[in-house]
Amino acid sequence: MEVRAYIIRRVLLIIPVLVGVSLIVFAILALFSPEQRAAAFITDIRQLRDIRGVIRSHGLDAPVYVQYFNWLKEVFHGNLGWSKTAQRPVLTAFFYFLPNTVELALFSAPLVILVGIWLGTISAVHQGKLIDHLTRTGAIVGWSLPTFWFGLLLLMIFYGYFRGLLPPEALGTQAGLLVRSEAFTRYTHINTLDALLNGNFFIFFDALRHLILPVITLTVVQCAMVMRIMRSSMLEALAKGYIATARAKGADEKTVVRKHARRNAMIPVITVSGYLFALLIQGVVITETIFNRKGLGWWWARAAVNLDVPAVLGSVIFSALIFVITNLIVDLLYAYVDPRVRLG
Amino acid sequence: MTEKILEIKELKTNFYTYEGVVKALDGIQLEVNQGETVGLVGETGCGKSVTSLSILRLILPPGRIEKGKIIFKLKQQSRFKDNYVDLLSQSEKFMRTIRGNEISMIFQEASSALNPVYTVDEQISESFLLHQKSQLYQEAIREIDQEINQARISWKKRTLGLEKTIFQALLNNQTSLPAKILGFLPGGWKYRGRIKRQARKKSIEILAQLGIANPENIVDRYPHELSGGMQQRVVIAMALACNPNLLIADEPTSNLDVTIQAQILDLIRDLKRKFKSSVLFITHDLGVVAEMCDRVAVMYAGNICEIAEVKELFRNPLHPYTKALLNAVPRGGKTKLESIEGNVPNLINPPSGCRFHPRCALALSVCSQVNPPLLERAKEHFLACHYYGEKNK
Repeated sequence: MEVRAYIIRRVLLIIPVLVGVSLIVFAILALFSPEQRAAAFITDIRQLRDIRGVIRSHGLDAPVYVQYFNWLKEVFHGNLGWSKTAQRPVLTAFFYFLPNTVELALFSAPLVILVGIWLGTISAVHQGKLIDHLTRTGAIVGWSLPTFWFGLLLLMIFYGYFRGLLPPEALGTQAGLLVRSEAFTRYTHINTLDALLNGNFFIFFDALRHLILPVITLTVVQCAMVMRIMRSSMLEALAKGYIATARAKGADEKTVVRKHARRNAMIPVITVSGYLFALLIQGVVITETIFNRKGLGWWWARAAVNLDVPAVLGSVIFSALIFVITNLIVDLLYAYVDPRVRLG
Repeated sequence: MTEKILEIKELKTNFYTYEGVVKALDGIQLEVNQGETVGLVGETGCGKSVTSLSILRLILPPGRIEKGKIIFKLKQQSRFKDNYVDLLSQSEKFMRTIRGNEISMIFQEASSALNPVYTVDEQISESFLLHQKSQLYQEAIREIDQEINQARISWKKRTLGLEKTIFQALLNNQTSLPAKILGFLPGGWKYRGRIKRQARKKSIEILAQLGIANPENIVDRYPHELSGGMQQRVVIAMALACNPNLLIADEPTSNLDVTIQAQILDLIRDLKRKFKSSVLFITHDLGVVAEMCDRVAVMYAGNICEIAEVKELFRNPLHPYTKALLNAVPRGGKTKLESIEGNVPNLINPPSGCRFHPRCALALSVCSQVNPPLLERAKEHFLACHYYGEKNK
């Protein structure tokens, strides 16, 4: 009951956050001249002859607050403008590019959490031993590697030296054709998932092969962060009185570590996972650009370079929305793991 | 004749730190008889807690138990002669069956001794689940029998019957492969749920035995929702869950209000009688010792310097350190407290001979050379002091 009221309140809180984001976005938009903004509504070269007409019909010469409400009205109608990089309306483009990014996130997020927590636990339990030194050194290296450089390095090794062992893009040529063919039903537009649903293992493994490098590039930084936090909070938890109590109760070392220490050590990791998500969005832009995976990050990067203003503005709103929802989930999870946290 | 339940012989525990080897325990001798409360007193850092952790073999690296014997009498029938076993020569796996079952421990701070993310029920039940599996199975089977008698529908009877056979199989062979598989199979939820319900019943029972009102309510709370005294009671319940032969209480009242302190001490005394266990009571508070204990052992810098019955010790302290300690305690009518000159020695380089000699007003030349042995000087009064021996030659 308490939790439901909390969720409702948090969901309602999304509205002021989005209004704030939209104000910032609109302030950025207002920096451009009416002519520049008119370009967002031009889909046909012939419209250029009457650019004044375009400006007037979209109210681009009106006072700023009127424009804001008009723009807000458009946004509420789902009309975020025309993305010239995607050659689609922004909203359609978003859903067109989403599956590839979701696929990437679907594979990297569990990997980050599982590997990070696992390595952090091992390293804390074997504090001061060789395995601890190795994982810590690995974490520092992983944390310090610039994503774009690391991705290019991987590409150079596994695509260059090993003759296309792990190629870029989302699918190979043959698999790409198969995916687009009549026989292949696209349930979700997520390649690996669709391949499994169709029972086509050739496409599945091809998609998987194309996923390996981007997933590694994306996860290495976050894994390092999760591992470091997990290690330090695990060390802290292992020194606590309740660990001694558990040992004195006769619990074996596995139970002590997994049941008593780890659940407590998870709390800081969950706290930073909201931040991890911001890192993920940032990483997706770089990773998808490097590996030429046509997902949201790839689109956003192209839109920014090509001055595709509506796409950039739309993407800011989308990521804000996703970010707020993820943080809500994080907060709920936090209250679930730590009973001392009161929702409300 | 009371029988010994614990006998510590020449126990040595060292800690290997960067600064050097800390000789925390240097040949401890101590006995605890059946049904007796033995107090272990001394200043902070004299090795009281290390002694208790050594008994449970919970000394973690860089610490190590170097040598000695800890002879303990088990409560259940076992393969050992007269049920006496040397804990230091046993495997870690064997020790796990001892901890919490035969010997359990109450830690100093109840607030940190309880795991904040689990309910009281989950924490007390853990002791039952670790040590009393077969009893839980038996109770589960009994419960199923009742349900079978009550069930009207035939298919329900049949599924209950199946469940009963599973529990019987588990009861006969707890470490078998099917038992392990049931532990993590999705279908195993049902079986685990039933066992957990049994453990929960027992947790409520033990809380009720501790005189806690409304245990059904307390059992579902998290530690942070309880008061300090209640937390300490839960810790005591956890320790007494499996009815241990020896209870080690490591300053169980040091962080509590005086009124709560008195309640907890009364509780421990009552429970000791009820559960017929012996208590090793560790404290630095001589008032608590006078209140609680039958015999007292005084510790100084990793050595036991005097052991006597509590009345004898307070009336007739023989060791200079014990005398000084008693003079430092506020008592009615006394205006000035006397402190002990000097500091507690560094245990990396402890003083040679008797470790108390640099602070001792009565020190002889032999004191700085030979460590005095613990000898019975009066009836049931053990003392480790050269001065007394010289004086009474």
